[in-house]
Amino acid sequence: MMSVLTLNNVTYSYEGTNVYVLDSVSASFEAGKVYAIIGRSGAGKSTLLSLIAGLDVSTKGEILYNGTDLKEIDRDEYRAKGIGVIFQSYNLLTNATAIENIVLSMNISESEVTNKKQFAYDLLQKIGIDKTTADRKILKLSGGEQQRVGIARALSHKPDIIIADEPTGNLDTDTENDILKILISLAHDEGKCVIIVTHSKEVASIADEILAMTDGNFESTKTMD
Amino acid sequence: MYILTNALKNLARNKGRNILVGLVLFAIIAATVVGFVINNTASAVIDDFRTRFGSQVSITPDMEVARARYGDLAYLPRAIIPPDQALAFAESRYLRGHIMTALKSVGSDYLHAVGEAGFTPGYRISGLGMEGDDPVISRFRVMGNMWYEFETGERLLLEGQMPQAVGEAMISHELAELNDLSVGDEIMMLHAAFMPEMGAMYLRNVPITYTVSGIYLDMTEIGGGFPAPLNHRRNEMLTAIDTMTNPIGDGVRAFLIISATYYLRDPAYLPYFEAEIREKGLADTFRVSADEASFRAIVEPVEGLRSVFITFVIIVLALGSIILVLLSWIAIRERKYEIGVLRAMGMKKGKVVKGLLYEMGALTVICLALGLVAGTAASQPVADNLLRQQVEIAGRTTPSGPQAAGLLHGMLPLPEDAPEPLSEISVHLGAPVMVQIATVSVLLAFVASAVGIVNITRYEPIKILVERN
Repeated sequence: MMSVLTLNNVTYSYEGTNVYVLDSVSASFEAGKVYAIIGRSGAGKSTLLSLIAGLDVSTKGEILYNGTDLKEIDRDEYRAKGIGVIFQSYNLLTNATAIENIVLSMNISESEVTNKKQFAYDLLQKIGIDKTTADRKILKLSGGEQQRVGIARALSHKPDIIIADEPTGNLDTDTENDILKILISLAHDEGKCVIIVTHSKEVASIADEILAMTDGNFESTKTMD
Repeated sequence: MYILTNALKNLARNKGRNILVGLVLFAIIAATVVGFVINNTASAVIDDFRTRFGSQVSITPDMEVARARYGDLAYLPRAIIPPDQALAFAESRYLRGHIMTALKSVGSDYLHAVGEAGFTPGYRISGLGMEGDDPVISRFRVMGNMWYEFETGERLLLEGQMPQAVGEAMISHELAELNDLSVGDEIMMLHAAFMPEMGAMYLRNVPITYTVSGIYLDMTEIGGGFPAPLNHRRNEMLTAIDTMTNPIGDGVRAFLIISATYYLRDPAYLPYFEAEIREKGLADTFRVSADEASFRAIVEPVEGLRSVFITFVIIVLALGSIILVLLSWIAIRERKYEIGVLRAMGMKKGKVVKGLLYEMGALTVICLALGLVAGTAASQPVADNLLRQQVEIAGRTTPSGPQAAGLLHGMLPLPEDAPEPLSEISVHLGAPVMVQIATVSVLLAFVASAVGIVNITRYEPIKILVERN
């Protein structure tokens, strides 16, 4: 299967320093699979996530999205249309409602869905958020509900890649299981490439492939049966 | 479109800080409205006054120069504009109009004057060294075109009618009773007239006959003392100026004082008008000027008011801008996270900026509407109050009373010559003022937003999110 995302010798150092957070990282990610990137704090996981999400730019190397280097495409457009990011701390617009967050994301991505609001309600319903909850402001929602809204937002513009940073880090076990099921379903049923960055071995265990990071590079790759 | 919708929703979402920014903006706009309205109205009033009062011309004799040039006795006739000249000046094409009154003192051989006691009519002064007749003592005044007192109620028509034809005059009720005169009677008065062809100081008492067309009642009090007959209002004969300027025989006019006020079409015509009347014979012992004193007395309160408000608006705008910029900067800094999220979602920088500007723009429109209403409502009482103070100040600092020309002619000025200083301004909000205020508000809001926006959009979204998380 063709990879949707390829990392070729991706290197990253903070501006004005010689300290390499990522050092010639290479990997390939395919559609329809769940990937888990694991590693200790400071291993470079979050930096890699930022680069994949198009929130930052690598110092050296290339990140190919469907064969095109991210440096050559409009990163705003890539973030709006190509990738959906699920943040550990949700990063939602807290003074807006859940439905407004989703619709705004669709507007930014110039979604062609005719009835965006209804689409957003349906999407939230699918993720486990009813209409009443969808109409509440983000600050009035629980952590689990906020994370579900974060997932719905990441899916709203139908991206090829979904990247999740510790998606269950702040959640209880039941909610964690629900979220993980959703992520597995997105990859296996809807053909998305799901990349999960996590500390948790339990979370990593649901992945099709696990990439372990140490000192700015992948130490090993393990394919799960 | 969604950016505008989202911006409008954000107004309500961030209502706490928007109310704060809105209050400052409202206060600035309201204060600016007051300032602009008063400034523009005052400017219009000043322009109006400049047209109406700034064009009034004063022709005043320089008595010192005349005395030095013609001597103690001969300077007086030369300190008065000859009637022929006064009439000729009035025909200038630079004038919008003129007001002309005349005065001459007359005597009589047989009429008794009101207020005289033990006086023999026809008494003449001798030994003045003049050639010709000894001048008869003047105890009466003939007044030309002095009708305004019938409008003010100081005089009333008792019998007959106002003079209609040359040679007709009105006399007072008291003078008529004293001399047993009635409407239709003829009276002969003696006018002292110089006869230049007989010599510079050759004088003759020329008789002129008037027909009594009407009898008036003088409503004014005589006062504490007893005025000399010549100064007694009941001894004034009222007639048309044409009667007075009519030749009294052999092309000679009676000794006559004409008070003329000329109004230029435009104050800029003054030099041309002066050149013309000099050519028509105005002596160089006269000064020609625009009536700056009256103009200043009226305009100074308004100009004072305008300068107060210009200062006020400048201070409000300066302080308000600083406060607004700070508030806006703080407000946008508080929204740093929101901006980070929007950028992380893929919203382009330009669209983020557009959204923030839409928000500020919508807030400005709301504040502008409220500020215009409140400012307009406040303008009138504020203007009235400040104008009252300015008028009081102007009243203490500018001279009042009859104008110099009037005093020299021994006459009180006409009501038209003494315009009352402005005591009220009707402030109004015209379209140009609204455009000016809207421009100022939008610029202010734009500058205030720009400071925060430029600052906040420098950051990459990842930095904002990492900072917060």
